Amino acid sequence: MYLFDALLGLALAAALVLVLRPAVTRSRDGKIFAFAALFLLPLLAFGLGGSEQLTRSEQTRFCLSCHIMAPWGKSLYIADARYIPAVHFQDHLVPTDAACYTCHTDYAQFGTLQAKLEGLHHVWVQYFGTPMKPIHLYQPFNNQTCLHCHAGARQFEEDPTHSAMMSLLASGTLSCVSSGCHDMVHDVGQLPKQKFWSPKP
Amino acid sequence: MSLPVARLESRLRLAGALIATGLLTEAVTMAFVHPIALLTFVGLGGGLVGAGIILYLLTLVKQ
Repeated sequence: MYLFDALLGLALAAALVLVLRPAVTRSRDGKIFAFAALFLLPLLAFGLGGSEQLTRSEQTRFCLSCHIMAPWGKSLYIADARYIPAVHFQDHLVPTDAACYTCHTDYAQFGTLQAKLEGLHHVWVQYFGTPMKPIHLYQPFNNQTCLHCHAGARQFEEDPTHSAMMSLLASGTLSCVSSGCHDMVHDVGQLPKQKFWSPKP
Repeated sequence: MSLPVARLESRLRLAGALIATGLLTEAVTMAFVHPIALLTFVGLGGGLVGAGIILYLLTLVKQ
């Protein structure tokens, strides 16, 4: 972030020099300066800033800043450990500042890119289109997202139920969250009936 | 045919102004963590910076 601030300040100052004194480009050094000020530095600043913006888009508060997502954010505070997203969030089994992104990103080769593109699509639809009602996943929840953390973990591996169906879980034939095992997820329709955990300030 | 010096400098000044405005826009968006900030960064900030760069490159080509 500090690098971006410094680069942005430098790029801005250089561009302003050319706005105020374009005559500096008459010399050879001035031409090199103009190339840096009007091409290299702005491109670098855009690249660094864009990278920072994309990193910020992974934050929980970024996702929940759209009003339409508020119920899903509230469901993270349900005071019932059977609710999978709530227990992961409240017990810090996922990074709380990137909770949505951690569980809703495909960890395959282009998973991050796909998540970013879908996120941009969500932003576009939020402001310029019509969001789907009710909100639902594009595809069934991918077991690999769960296995990314749980596979190889002792508690998971030593559970006889898990070990008996590991091949089915790995292949996606049996879903972790919709086959009667861990199917209490966000369930936003039930929010009015729930009690909520209030973290200490 | 190359551009007269005055016209060349006028274009460079415009390119610099576009880029400076774009960079300022980008700087403002960095104060917020919000989808609108992301869209503004890419759409408005990136667009202005891109327009300035293209204008500069076109000026170079014509020169």
